[in-house]
Amino acid sequence: MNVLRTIALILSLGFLSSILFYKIRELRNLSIIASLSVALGFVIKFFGIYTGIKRAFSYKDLFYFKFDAFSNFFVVLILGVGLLAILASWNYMKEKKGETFFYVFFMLTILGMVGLVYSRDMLSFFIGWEVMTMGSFLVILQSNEKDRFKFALRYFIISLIGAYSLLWSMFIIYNKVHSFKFSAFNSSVFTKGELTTLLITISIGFLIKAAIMPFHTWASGAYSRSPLTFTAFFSGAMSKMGIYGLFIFLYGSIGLSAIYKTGYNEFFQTSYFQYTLVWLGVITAFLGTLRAILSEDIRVMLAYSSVGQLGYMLIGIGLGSTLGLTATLFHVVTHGLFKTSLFIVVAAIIHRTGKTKFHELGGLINNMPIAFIATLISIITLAGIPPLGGFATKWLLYEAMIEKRMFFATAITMLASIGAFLYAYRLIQNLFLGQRKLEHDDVKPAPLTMQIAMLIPALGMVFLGFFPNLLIKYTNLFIELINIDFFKLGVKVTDTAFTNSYGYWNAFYLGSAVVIIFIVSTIYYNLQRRAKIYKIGQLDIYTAGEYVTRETPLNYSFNFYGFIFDSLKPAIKYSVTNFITRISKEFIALSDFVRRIYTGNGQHYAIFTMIFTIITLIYFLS
Amino acid sequence: MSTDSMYRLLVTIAVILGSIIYGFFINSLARRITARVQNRMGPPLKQPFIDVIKLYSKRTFVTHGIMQTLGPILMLTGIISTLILIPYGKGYLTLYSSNGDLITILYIMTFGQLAMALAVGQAGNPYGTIGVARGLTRMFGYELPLILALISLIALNHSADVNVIIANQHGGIANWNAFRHPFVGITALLAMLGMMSYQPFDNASAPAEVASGPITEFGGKFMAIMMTTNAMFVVAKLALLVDLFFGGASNIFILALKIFLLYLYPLFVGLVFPRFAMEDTFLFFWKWPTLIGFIGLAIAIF
Repeated sequence: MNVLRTIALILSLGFLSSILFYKIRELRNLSIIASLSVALGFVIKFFGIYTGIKRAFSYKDLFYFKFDAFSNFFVVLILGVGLLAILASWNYMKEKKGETFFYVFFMLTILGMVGLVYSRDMLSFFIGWEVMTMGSFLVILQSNEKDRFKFALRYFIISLIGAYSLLWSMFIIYNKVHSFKFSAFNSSVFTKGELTTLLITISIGFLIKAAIMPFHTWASGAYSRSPLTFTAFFSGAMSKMGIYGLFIFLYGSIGLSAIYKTGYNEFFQTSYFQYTLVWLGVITAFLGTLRAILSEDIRVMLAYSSVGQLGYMLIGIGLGSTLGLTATLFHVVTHGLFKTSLFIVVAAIIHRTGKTKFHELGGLINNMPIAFIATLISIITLAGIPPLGGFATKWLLYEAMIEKRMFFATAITMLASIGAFLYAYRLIQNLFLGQRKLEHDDVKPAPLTMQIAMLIPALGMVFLGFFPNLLIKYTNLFIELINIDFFKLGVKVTDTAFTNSYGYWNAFYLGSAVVIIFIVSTIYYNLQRRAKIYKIGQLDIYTAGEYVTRETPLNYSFNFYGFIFDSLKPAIKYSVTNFITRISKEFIALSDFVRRIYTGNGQHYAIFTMIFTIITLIYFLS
Repeated sequence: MSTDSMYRLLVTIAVILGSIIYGFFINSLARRITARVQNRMGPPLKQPFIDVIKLYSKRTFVTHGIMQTLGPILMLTGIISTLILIPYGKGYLTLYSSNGDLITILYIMTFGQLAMALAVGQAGNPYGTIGVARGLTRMFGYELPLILALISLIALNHSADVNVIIANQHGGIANWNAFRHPFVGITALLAMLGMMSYQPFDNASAPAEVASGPITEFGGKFMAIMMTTNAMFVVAKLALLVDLFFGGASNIFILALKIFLLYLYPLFVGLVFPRFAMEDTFLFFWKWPTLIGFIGLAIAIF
């Protein structure tokens, strides 16, 4: 039995059942969850067996699919995050408008993504890519936001530009190579200029999907206006398809030597093209973080945070070394985990309270304890603080950048990750801590399925914090497969320690040390016999003479980092989004002018014709 | 457990306890020096010890919630984890610094601050939260020059290992990074002003402006733990700077002396300058120290 056909069959059955039972909630959801988990179990079961062995499947010598460790890595992410998102949607989408078609299009998106990840030729890749874009566009339309059309349309149009860019480069490749297969690419038939153009058009296609600046303008709207459980999938798994595409096209198909042919820099030991990618990533990481710090809407903050985090992944892709690619793949997993968890937490909060702004919330820790724990673990991972999983990415990435002697870029990236600490703190402070509003006294905990969906990634993050080497063992497997000079520049992973030429870090010892110290500190703290502890209310605080009531709680949450905003005000007003908005306004004005001529009224056209005839007559007669 | 790891553990515990005592001691000296500058007598040297013992023996019987109780403990955890990754000399005094390099130290430092910030948030006092917001903004400010200085060091030494950086400064004052690479040294010293949170950058606690900032809701045992961790953190930060820029130390007494001398610098700067406004603080770090840092990094690379 072919593994690929089985997976395709299971997922198609799930998709079909989402159409057949689209009105019967329990049956539909259960069959989708069953299909996704069976497929996930299937992939995981054969993941270990076929690592290294490539299982191929082709149809009429046109469509090639391959079941290997590299694709499975991404498929596990897609199916895992998809499963969690569907699980969370059970309660979140319940009795909301658009519930019925939400699942159909969600399954369509997943199908397209799994197809494109397993495909090994450009044609099936592109079909999967377009199914994914179409499916996600339709899911955004199922939300209840009023302005969803505007943002969905913006997402779709910008995605189309990327798709055309991709399609164009695929045809150029086919024209020269006469094959759509990734492995058939032959750089010797291209000139240097053609290769450069090809690299640029391919990158534009994928950078748009990954929302890298300056192609990020769709991201904040599309992420925040989708149904939020889908956004968990959108940001957690789908945005990585851009990274996957770059990975497979640049290093799987075109190859490092062909990229070096377009211009090689001795000092940084990399090509100018890759160097540009690194700087795009750095700028995205920094500006995305800055935008996230200054957002007042929770969903917009998380959207910009996703933009920034994708920047880190692009840096790793741009570096192209083993260490850099390992960092990227590691970050794909950690970002998938914490962003899924965070978006589901936010979905739960908005589901229960209906509020979306930071200053409308606060003090929910006692109402939603599980959500608080999930958020705490997620933000520690997000900020990259040891001993949880996020630090491994940071360490690998910085070491990779230092190894390539990109010190300025390293400094800015590190600053961006410190900035992540700022908005991450706001996420926990303004939602769960501080003073609770009177109207939120009776807010119930998150629904059960959402609690499960937010806790599972949190457990994964804790596990990765102590055993990052287990994941790196897998990523090393397929980085070896795509033939990049391994051990020469790489990170050496012993049982628990990471070493490379610049530094070292022992995740397990460090994590254990923190745990041991925590236990000792707790014992030390409790040595003294303690009196009974009374929990006091939120009004029992020192207020310096300010009179606080439940009706008007004293909360510091609006314009939280106003200092930064005030300091950077002159620079902040320039943004790509504003630029695009302005262009679109000018375009609308132009169209308005054209509309005055082409009114659609027959009599106006008659007048135009008459005036034209008279002018012509006068011209010829005179 | 082998004798070697046993000794290492004992030395580590001794260093942790010693850093608490030494932190209080230099804090006390600083208060007396400040007092002399302001033409006062100042408190006796034993004052911080009396304070912390008194506070620790108090019974705490109110709390705003779980994070307020857990926060100080987690903070202690974070600071001790930082402390054991910094070398304080040679041999056993390198403690556990072979388990993490400079980047690890930089990141694990924030663990304690996050725990503190969470505890403050749970207490629900807006003054505390404003203090945290200010502290984080200041951190975002001074980290840029600090990172530039540290990256320059990594570039110069081809290593992120603190022990290697110390070893490369071997042989006299002229070889210390602060003097051999003056731009890097100046950047680090300017960033250090923000790190030590004395005037003119004491915006977070900002006495008489936002109550007492982050510590507003913390009394008794919480306060004792916070004072202890602050004392340790001051020693840890200064020891790291001494290791990186002032040649490290061959024995613990020289290290103590260097730490004290380095501590006087933010103290005296603080006595001269009044507090900066928050926006000025942020922009200060992103202007001159950053410019000098970029020059230093450019010299280091090329």
